Amino acid sequence: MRIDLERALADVAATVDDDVTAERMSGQVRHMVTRVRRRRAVRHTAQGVASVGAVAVIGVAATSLGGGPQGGPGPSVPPATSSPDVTGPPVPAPALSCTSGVPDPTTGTPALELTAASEAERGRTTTVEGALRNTGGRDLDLEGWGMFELVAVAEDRVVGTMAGGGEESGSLPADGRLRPGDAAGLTTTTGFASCEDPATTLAPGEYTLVGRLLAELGGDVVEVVSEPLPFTVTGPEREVSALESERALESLLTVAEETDGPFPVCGTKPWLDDGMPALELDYVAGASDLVAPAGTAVPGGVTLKTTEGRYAIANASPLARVVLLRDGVVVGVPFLDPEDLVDVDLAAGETQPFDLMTTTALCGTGEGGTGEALPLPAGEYTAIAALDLMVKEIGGPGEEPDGSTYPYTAVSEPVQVTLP
Amino acid sequence: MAQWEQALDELVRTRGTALVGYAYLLCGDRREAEDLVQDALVRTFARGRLTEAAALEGYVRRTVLNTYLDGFRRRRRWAAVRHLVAEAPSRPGPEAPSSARVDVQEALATLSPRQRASVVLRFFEDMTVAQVADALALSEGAVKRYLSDGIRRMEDHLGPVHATQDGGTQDVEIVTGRSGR
Repeated sequence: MRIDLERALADVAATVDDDVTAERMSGQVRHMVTRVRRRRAVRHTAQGVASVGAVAVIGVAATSLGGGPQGGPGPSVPPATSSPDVTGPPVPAPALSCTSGVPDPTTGTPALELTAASEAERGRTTTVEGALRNTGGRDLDLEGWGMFELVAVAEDRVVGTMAGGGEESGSLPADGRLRPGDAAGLTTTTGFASCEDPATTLAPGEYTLVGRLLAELGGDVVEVVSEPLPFTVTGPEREVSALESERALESLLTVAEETDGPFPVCGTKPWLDDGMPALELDYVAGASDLVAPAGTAVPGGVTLKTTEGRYAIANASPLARVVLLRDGVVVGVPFLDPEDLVDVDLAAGETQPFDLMTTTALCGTGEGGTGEALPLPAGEYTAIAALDLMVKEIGGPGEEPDGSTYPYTAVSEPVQVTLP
Repeated sequence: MAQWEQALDELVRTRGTALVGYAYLLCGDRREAEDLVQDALVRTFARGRLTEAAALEGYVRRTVLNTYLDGFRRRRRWAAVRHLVAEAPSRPGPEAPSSARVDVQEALATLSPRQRASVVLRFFEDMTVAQVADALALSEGAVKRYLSDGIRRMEDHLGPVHATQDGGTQDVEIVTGRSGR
């Protein structure tokens, strides 16, 4: 028998032409739209930065053609009182890059002061504020700014450049004047790509961040460079791309659509509403404390209590866990391998504090799972605290305890958290 | 909703599974095929300024092909970890797979990426050898070799296959009985 190749190929292709594929593809449209928007935004941002740079170059050229700040007519002539004192490389300075060298901090006024969290997990974005402060004794006319750039530095070399994120915000003083001691801030959220391998994010280690922006002061465009700011990147040595994590999460969500399971089993869509629970947890920690790398413990992050005047005797895990859900599916569960249990003996109205263990890793990966931990993609998640107990006796006013021992998971109300 | 978002939504709804089928012939893995198509859609729509549905699908197909041929580094990395968090990559459809279809899939799996792409473009996409050469940025002679070698290799697995004399595949005979994709 001979095989009709065209028909055979069509038959093979048709094997995926079914409702499962159609539903899965349709279910990905929203995610694809987000990815397209992100790519378009990155391109738009890149074009915008180029435009600002072009404006800066034009401004400087105009100043030069006019014979310098004091010699020319028009808007490029600065008022005598607002000429910046900053001394730095001539503008236009080249964009900061892996090969541009580490810029020296500028002296004089204004000064660029950086503020950022001291550490960030590998692959996650960091929010950095650059405050342009008037450290002199007279007003400065701050007419514009742009090209706020950051580089990561180690051993006097640029080892990382901005990548991802790209959101930048900030506003100029309303009257355009920066008074002595005042500061105006630009904020950017960014990740860092490694100079060694631009396809990967900056590896864990100790660095400093150096910031640079171009400011238009009294008609001059000047480059202002910050002092270095210590910055640590934590996390695994191996790079895991955001896309890789997003796909892993999507797969988990797809599989979970058909999987029920007890809370908090990874990759299941748990049914949590089972009426009034006998025991429940209350958050003490704020929502921002619930987002921390795997293994972080928030001291006294939750309290355990009984409900409806019950008492309870139980053994409990020494730590409660922050369980992260996306679309109702368990996607983040801190690994916990308790050697000890703690006693719980709660009378009606009493509470018992528990430390709270957090995670930002996709469940099923990393410690307690298989392979290296994949970070959960940035975005919104639902956080529910969970505490595993072995209940020995529980009862309410006028109730006879049944004396049976059984496992129980106390949970908190859900809160929304955002992973950066 | 922006115009491009509507276009993306419509393309996925009306042509999504056909695109996945095309990608599936190239890569041989259902989930990988979906990934390929999604990546191609994102790349195509991120470029902007594309409005005609027919042109869009053409761009997406071209991007699927290029992504497939450009290598699997990223997708290999993904494939290496996917089993940790997901089900088996290929799920059978509602229909039980026929042995003939499985044989064809196995035969396709024996081909090199360019052989496979040549066979799929020529016999599934109905391209001429010249069009295949253009799509793969190869000479027509190279495409003929890929087709010839590819089909011979498939025949080793499947036995004789029907093919025509058209397009330079002199040693095979193609039956043009397929009415659509």
